[in-house]
Amino acid sequence: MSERLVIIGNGMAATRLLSELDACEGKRFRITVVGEEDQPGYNRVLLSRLLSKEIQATELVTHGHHWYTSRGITLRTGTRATSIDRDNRQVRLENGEALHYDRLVLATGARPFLPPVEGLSLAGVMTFRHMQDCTDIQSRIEHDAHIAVIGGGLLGLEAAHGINRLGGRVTVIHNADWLLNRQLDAPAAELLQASLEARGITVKLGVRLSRITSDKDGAVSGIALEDGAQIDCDAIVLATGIQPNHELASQSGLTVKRGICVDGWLRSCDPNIYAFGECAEVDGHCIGLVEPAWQQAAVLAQVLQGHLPEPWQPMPVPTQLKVSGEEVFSAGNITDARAESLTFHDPVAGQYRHLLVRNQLLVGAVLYGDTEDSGFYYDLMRRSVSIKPMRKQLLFGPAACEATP
Amino acid sequence: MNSPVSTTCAYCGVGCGVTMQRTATGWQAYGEPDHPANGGRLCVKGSALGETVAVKERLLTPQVDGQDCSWDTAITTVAERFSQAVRDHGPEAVAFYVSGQLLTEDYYVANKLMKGFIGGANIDTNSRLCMSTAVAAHKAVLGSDTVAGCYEDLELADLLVITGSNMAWTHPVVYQRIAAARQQRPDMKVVVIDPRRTATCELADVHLPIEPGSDGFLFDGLFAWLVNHRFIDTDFIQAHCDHFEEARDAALSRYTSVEAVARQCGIDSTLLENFFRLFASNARTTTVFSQGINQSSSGVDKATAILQCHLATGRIGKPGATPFSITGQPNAMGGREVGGLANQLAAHMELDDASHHALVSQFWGTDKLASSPGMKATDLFEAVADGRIKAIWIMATNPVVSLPDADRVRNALKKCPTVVVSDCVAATDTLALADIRLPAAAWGEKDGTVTNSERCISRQRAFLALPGEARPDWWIITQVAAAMGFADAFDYRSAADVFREHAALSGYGNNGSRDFDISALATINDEQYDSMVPVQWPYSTSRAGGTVRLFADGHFFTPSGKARFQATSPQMPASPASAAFPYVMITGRVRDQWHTMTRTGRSSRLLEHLDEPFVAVHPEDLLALGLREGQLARLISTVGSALLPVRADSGLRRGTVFTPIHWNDQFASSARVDALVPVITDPSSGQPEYKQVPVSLEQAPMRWRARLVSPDSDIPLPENSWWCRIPGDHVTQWRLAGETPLDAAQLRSLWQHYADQWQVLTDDRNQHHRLVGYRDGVPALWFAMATDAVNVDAHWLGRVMSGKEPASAVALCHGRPLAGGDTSALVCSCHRVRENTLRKAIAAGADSVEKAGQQTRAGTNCGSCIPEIRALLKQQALEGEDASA
Repeated sequence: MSERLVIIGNGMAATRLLSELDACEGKRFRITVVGEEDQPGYNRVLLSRLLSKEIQATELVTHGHHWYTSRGITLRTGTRATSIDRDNRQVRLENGEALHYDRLVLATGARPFLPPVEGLSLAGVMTFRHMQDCTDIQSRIEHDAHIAVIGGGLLGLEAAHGINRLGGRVTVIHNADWLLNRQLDAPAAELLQASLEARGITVKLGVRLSRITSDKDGAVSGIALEDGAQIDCDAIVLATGIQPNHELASQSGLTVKRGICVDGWLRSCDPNIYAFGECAEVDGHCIGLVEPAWQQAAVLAQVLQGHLPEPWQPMPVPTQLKVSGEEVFSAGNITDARAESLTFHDPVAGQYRHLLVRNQLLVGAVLYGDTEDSGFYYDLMRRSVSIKPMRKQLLFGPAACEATP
Repeated sequence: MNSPVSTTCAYCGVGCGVTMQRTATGWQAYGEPDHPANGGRLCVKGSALGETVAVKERLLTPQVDGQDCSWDTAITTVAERFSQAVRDHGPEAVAFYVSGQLLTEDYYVANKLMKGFIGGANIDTNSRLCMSTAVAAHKAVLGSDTVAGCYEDLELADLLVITGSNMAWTHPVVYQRIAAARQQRPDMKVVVIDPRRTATCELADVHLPIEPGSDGFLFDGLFAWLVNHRFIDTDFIQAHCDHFEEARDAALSRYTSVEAVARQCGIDSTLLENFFRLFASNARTTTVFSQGINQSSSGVDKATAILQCHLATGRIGKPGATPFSITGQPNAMGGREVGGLANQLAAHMELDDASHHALVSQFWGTDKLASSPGMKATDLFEAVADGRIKAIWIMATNPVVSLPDADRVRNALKKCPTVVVSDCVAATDTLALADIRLPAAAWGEKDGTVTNSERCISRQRAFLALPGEARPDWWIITQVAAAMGFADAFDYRSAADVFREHAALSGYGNNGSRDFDISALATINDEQYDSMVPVQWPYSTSRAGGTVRLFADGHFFTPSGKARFQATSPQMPASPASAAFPYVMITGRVRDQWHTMTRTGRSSRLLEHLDEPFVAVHPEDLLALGLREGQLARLISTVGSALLPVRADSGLRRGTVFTPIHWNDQFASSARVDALVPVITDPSSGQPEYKQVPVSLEQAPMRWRARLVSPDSDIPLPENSWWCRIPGDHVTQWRLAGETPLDAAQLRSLWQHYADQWQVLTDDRNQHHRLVGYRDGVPALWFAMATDAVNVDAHWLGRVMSGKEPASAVALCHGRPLAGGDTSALVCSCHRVRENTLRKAIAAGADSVEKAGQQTRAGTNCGSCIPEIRALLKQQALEGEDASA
């Protein structure tokens, strides 16, 4: 009898793990997947393009129902796990059903972080994480709502772009001094902001949300900022970050800090329970992007097979803004004060490059406007290639670096 | 003017016939198939003539004391100031310094005005720097300034000796003729005598890399060896030569052995003896000599030694057997014909010959004719410096760049009360010092004749209208002559009028006594002048059809009719290398530039072969000096200094360096190498010793090096920087370097009027900075600075900046096309074929110049790059052997 593997979560991490396991030659599990959303596996990364109606919902699906059934995988959608009985190795679902496991994988992901302000429950307060959120936002745009997006990070800008593309009126409220402040430095962000503003997106920087105000019908009427200013709007999209879904784990006594604590092989303190993706925390690192989650999926698949591959460790992960017409790339440590900076800035072409070098190694890169060479820089970082012989050509990309200096 | 116009090239003394053809965008030069000098060939400079005729950077209006004025004012002012100086201080207080770039007609009236009517003889020409040594030797030995042979002799020779000439670069068409002849007759032997392994050596069977300046010992040794081994033509000597014994005894008294001569010349004695035997055993031997012989403090003895080796063997003026002096300038010989040198009168007559004086006085109808020689160029400028000369008129030449001790020349002109300069370009280092500037007609606008190195008179014809107020030099001079009160003697309506008088004078009272006689042309009408075909003088009733060779009959233009052997005394350079100045600097030309670059500096194509001034140094000397290629070196001599980028050249002897003569203050901040040349001249010819200058050499540490590129040619440069300017088709490029730190903010403020937005690259740690200034969204200025060399493809950047080629912002900053762009050295300027392309073709099996040409087109137009292609072939063949060994 093969082992029973229960996976809680059916997001991009979980579906990747399923694919990895499917590709393994080794042992087979009896797998049950529990997914909160109604949909089978889909590509959440493409939600912003779904919002802007650049693609159809069907184009997002990566793992349809047939994919599961054809592999003998049991998929429970539209239901939640409510508790784990570690002693009896059972997971209990919302509907009271209990699933026995030999191995349990927690891939519960994350949810939007909600700032502690008044008015979160008002009609018109939305987030941007699920397929349903797209439908909600789109219907607001159809009613000519002025939408405030709270948060000028990747997700917030993708939402704002989607709204703008559909003709919606949108204002981005960001508490830092420049957009994408975790990914970009100020010059890159200024170019990005100028481009977004040229599209008709309004941006307010360095302001904090104080509360959400309502009209007499209990719907959103605007937002009040900490500096006392008031912005009228009809709807709000909160994009102020994510928080790991670790409650199920913490309630069952697993060690949890920001996320569920696991080691480089994604093992929790319970030898039968694993966690990975956005819900997990490895050596203090929580992730929020697809690529490291997929790296973890590959490691975990091996571990579940009984192997001990190279443990997962955080690596510079490039981010790219999924906004058509905006070329943004960021990777590595872009705030390293001890690094040497190489910069290229062209205000006319709207292009910017910032490369950070330490000990002749590229440790960080920001590109704006033309990200053709991002793969090259990422590769230099990943492979720890000495840039010494190509330093003078480095900002010009691979064609220049590979040619004679 | 749409039908093609036949004319003669503006550049070297080969004097090629050129057909200028109108094209959609300008003019294209083709080799004139029927011209005897080139038979349809052209070199790279000649091919690019059409690129240099655009009316930009031209002097187009007369100026007096910095103010534009009418011709009337300018001519009156020149005449008054010269007349005043003559009245107050005598005819010796005024001077003309003229040029081998003038046409014979211009030259004739300038000489006539000075010697015939002002009555002084202080007219000298830049031919003094070029051919005066050959003139002196010819006159001493042959009795007249006669080049005995012709170009065909270089093709017919069984042994061709090339000494003191890098003709592959300086006279490319003659070199090509030799190369073609040798292909026809593979047995033909070529010996090159040169301290440097030059491009000319690609053709050589034997290269004698002698100690710089030791040529006199070599030919003196050859003469003695020929005598000792009885390889001399005693019949010819007895019948046609005087003073052989004196010359023989002088040579034999010095001679001990071939080994001793070889030691003196710094070469292997077997190599030398091999050459002596070749010389002895080939009746058809032609010896070509040029500046390496002439520009020497003992040049006349060197040239004399060459002439005497030929006289002693009876090899003069015979097909394939002759000495042959090849000239540098298009009309160096025309100037000699009219008497353009201070020690000549006119038409090969002598100032101190009473009968000549009488003839010319009578012919010109003057009683003022000068009767004693004037000052030679370097003495003349010395007289300017010490105030003896009160007024000087400089025509078509740039002495602040080209004379020795050029800084002293500059200071002399600064002090001179009246400096008149006639030129066709707007800015030269000499024009900068002029009180009166006269806009002269340029090549392509002027009409007249020139005489090339083989005595061939060819027409230069106008195919362009005179721009602005520009006028032919003969017109300017005759107007001034008239304003000085000599209107009757200068009543010419055309260049043809002048030419007929010149031709008539050559025959006047001649009766076969003088070599130069073109009296057959004295009566031609205007139409015949316009349609005149090239003809070699003498051309008289007794020599109908011209004269290809002279002296084979043993008749010389001396009183006795015999050639005159001279007792010579060979010398090494007057100023040897020393502990303080341990290197010997050899100055010379590069392939694609001409003189002070006033014309060739306008063609971006011609600047691609070598685009900056340089000092070439032997690689081992570089090591010893701790210098690397591309770094700047400071050269210091006893009189001046220069700051030049370093190139490695293993073709040099250790201890010698080479610098090109062309660059000047219009093109670089510190590259006038003639400022390093001390005034040491041959006592007889007055020609300066340009070829052996002791210098010291040291690294000039530079904190930064940079390139600047812009469509604007007047961008201010950072203060105190070393710079070199490279004009291009769409942009001007500067190379810059500096010892004091420079920051980008300073530069943006320096250039604030040239740009309104800035693309900026910064790598502070590496001291690498770039700026691209945009004006109205278009790139208007490109700058890159680093601690070492910065590369840029200015041609490509020019196309980008002029909107002819798209480029990404990153590529723009890079300054070169990204992905697949080839920036290796341009070998073939005509077809823009680069070294990498050729290397690939050679690697793929193109094992000959022809095949490489078929595959890449390189070398198939003008052929000037063929020596380089051959060198690449050789190099790659050697590499192939190494790889398979």
